Amino acid sequence: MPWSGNLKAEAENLLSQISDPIEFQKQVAEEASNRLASVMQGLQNFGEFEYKKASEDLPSIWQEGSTRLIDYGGETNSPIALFVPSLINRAYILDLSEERSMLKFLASQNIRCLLLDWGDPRQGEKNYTLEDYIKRLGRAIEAVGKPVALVGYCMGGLMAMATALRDNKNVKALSLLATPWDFHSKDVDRLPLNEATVQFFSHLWESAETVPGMAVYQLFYLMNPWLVHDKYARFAEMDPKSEKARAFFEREFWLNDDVALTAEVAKECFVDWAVYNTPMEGKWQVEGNTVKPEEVAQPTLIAIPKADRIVPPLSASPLSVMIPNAETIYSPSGHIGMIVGSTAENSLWTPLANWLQKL
Amino acid sequence: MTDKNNMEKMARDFLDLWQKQLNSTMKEPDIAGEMMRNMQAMQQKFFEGGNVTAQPDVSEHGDDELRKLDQRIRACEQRLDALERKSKSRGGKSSKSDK
Repeated sequence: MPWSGNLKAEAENLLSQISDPIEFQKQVAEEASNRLASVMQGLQNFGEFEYKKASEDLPSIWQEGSTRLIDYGGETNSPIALFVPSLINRAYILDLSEERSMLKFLASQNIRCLLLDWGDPRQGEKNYTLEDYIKRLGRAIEAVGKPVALVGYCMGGLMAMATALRDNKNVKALSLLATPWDFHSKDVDRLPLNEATVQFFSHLWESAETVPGMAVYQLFYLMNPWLVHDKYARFAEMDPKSEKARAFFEREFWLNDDVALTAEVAKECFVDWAVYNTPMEGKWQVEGNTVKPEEVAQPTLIAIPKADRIVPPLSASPLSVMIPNAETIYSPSGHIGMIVGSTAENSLWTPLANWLQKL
Repeated sequence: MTDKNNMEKMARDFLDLWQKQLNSTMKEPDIAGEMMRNMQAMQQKFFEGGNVTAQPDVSEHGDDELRKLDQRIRACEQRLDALERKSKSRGGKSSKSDK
């Protein structure tokens, strides 16, 4: 096997120390077998858990097509925060379980929380573009009937920002959680995005009206082929009755609860944004207008998770500079840990609650 | 450290290196491109089968009542279509007879 440049010396040094090649081969086979067994054990343990949603029967105050606006309650005179999740994953990460629910925490802090659940694209929505979804978000805000603070998570932050730019009257504040802007930032290894990527996705959207979430996840697995292996091997070592194992299970359940994207949205996200970096290049347009963070007039809170590998800090941080009234807070966690991790309450939930209460 | 322990450690180190090697290989554009083409070929049959659009028309989070309502509306639309077709075909005959 030809070793890559930086690994070559290390590998040659290791191999030069082998005194008994047959015994070494045997040990390598045994270690590989043990590792595989760990992964299988992790997967088996995973199958023995049962997911319990935090909130099953909350009322929707508005619905259009597959999209619902879920009401987490609260006093009528409380500040209203409307949460905009990504289209790529399910909305309930913000209310993952009884123990890990940012929305329930905020509701307990006298914030009226409304969660926009995009749902799966139905008939009549399968040709939807990002612009269609952004317009829908605008109609959801109008349905609330009072000015709201928009809180966008991940790509939901981009959609929230585009909405804040077009509606200064009904959007009185903006918060962007782990929201990307520079899709070519150099602080993480990225999958080489090139014409092969474009062809890969072109094939997906030419073949069907919607792109299944699993096709998107394959890209993440390509970036790190050992992602699943390492995660489930670690899970196998956890006590299945521990809180840590339960937290892992809930996150993984959510991650694998995939949601389809319309072909057009997939193209905009994975080609226009990811390959051509249109937001950072000043070429992302909504309703014919370029989305310019420097024109956001509302007070803005930006939350950047320092260990985020999906939206790395340097992808999100240009927004801190570009948006005039932006305050930035940092979480020590990763992309999902920021929302549901063990440090979430101190590093995000509480500062966000304090900020919303002051509006 | 005994020879056996040493050999076990070397085996672990070797596999760690091999994993790193595979990760770094995926960062090479040609290899990543080739992997994508392979994935595309593997998915071809699936997509051609049309299963990719087999998302429920009503959100999984929607309740059964909504799903039933959706089905009933579709059934009504089909009946209306059928009635309209009948009506047009009758209309066609009467217009001929009018002439």
